[in-house]
Amino acid sequence: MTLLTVEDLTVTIDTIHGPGHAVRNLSFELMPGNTLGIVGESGCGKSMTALSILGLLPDNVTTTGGIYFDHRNLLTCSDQELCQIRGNRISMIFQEPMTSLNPVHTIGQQIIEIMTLHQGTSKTEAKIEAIRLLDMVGIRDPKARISQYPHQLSGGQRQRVMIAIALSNKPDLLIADEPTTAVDVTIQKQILELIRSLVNELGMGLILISHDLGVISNMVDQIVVMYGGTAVETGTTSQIFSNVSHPYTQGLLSAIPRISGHKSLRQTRLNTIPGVVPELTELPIGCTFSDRCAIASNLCTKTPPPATLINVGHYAACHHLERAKGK
Amino acid sequence: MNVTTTKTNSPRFVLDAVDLTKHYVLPREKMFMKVQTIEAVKGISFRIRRGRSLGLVGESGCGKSTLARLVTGLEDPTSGSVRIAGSNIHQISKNALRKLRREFQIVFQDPFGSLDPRHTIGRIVAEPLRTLEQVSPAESQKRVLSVMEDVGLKATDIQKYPHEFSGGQRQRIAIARALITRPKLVVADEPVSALDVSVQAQILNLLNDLQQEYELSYLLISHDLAVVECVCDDVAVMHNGVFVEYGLTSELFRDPKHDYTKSLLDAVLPLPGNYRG
Repeated sequence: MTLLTVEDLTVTIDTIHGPGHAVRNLSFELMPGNTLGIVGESGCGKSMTALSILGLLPDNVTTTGGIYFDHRNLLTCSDQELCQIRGNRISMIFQEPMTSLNPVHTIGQQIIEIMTLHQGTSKTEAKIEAIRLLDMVGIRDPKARISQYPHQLSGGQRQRVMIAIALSNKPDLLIADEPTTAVDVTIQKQILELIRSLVNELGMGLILISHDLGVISNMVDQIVVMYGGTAVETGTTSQIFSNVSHPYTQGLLSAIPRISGHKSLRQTRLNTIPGVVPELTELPIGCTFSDRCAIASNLCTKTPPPATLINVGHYAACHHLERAKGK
Repeated sequence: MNVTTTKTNSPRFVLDAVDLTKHYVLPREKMFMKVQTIEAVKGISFRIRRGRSLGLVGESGCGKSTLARLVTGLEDPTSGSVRIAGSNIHQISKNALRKLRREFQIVFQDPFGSLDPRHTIGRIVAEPLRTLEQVSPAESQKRVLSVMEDVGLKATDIQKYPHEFSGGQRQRIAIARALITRPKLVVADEPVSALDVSVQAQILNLLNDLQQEYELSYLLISHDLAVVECVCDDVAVMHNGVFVEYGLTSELFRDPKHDYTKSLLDAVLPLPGNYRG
């Protein structure tokens, strides 16, 4: 049985420039204990997908399709039902550890609140559990730290506290939206390792959202590459990296500078994708990538490409997969 | 220091920093407490040769941005000196420094905060010319158009306002503004970290093209080692206010000597496969 099924999800934002198609016909499945990464550039719809799972979308947004979790469609759940799921069965770690903690409460209060709210734990028990959680996420001297305020912690420590809060109710699904974008690389490594080991240990499902293919490829089993609100390529991590199929995924991968330790690299130019990410209100009618794609044809500008099977579980939405392969 | 020696030094090095130190005094937490100071930069010396670029890597709080502010004269060092084109920028008069600013310009990280939203692109790009050089309006217009072409902007963009551009385009505008006085040194503090990967590659290529065309030197500050390798001949690894390692980028990344450099390189997440497009 799947833990989470996203079926034909469409998220439309009502803007002054007309409807913005943040997510279009997105489908994926996540089995319990599995890990899935959503990767894409700004405005590709990855965060909107996360927010729609948690029912945290702003008011000017309409959704269609279904997000099924525990036999319920989260899109049609009442606020009350959602409140019982959020922070309890499904938890989220946000990007900004600076702003997602409340500055006027101690970190202890913020962890304890979650447990007393959802599980009815007594305050004394919750405090003991909070100390254990802080210890688990690698915060030294948790007994003293618990009565400190967020400003007394570094960025990495704050993100650890966020993880402790997210894990306090042992959720079935953890959603991490760019959890390491705001921290240094050495801290990033520690935080990712922490998330990975905790996900394994507790048997949680994980949806990791990032713009960084390096982060994604090192953390998850399955990848959804998004562009302009649609999934352009999906598959397991090894499938995608051994056979990069969609022109966008190809472009994205080859645009990433890599450390080589060779003098020659200084002279070689990076591959670029021409143009910029299109506005959500002005997406091309056909394939969303058609205006930046080197092999786009007339067909691409008129008809959205269907998801084509490449291998069991590996799909790419492109009319010219054969030509893309030869590139 | 002797004037003649400075003059002989000036053509070879666009930047010569000697024993730079910067202390910040923290506000007192209690009334009778001893004043605490933070040593952000502790005795750093380095030079940048004309046409070569130096990358500065390190994690937040290591002092790299403070160092950038010192070498661009935005802050005064506690001790030490910075020479640009032969002049000690912290000792010359404000007027002289202003004139000297033609030689070194800055590109900031945030392409949204660094452009005045009420000014047209034409005015933003021309601003350094108006304040630093006496040029006729016609000449100014000509220079603006030529530099905008250099960075890949259209002539019609001159009438537009910053909000009409994407992040990558804004960074191009910031680069055009930095280049209009034809500087020898451009200090760029995380110029691509706010951009998407596909756009980041465009800007990195642009930085390399411009360097070859104008024999520029960059002092490029970045947390991303791969970005530094793309653009810089030399690299300095900064940790706790000092350079822990310094050398040719290719050698240093292939064979790091210092433990901190090793840990930085270790933390870079490798991409599986070797897809190169």
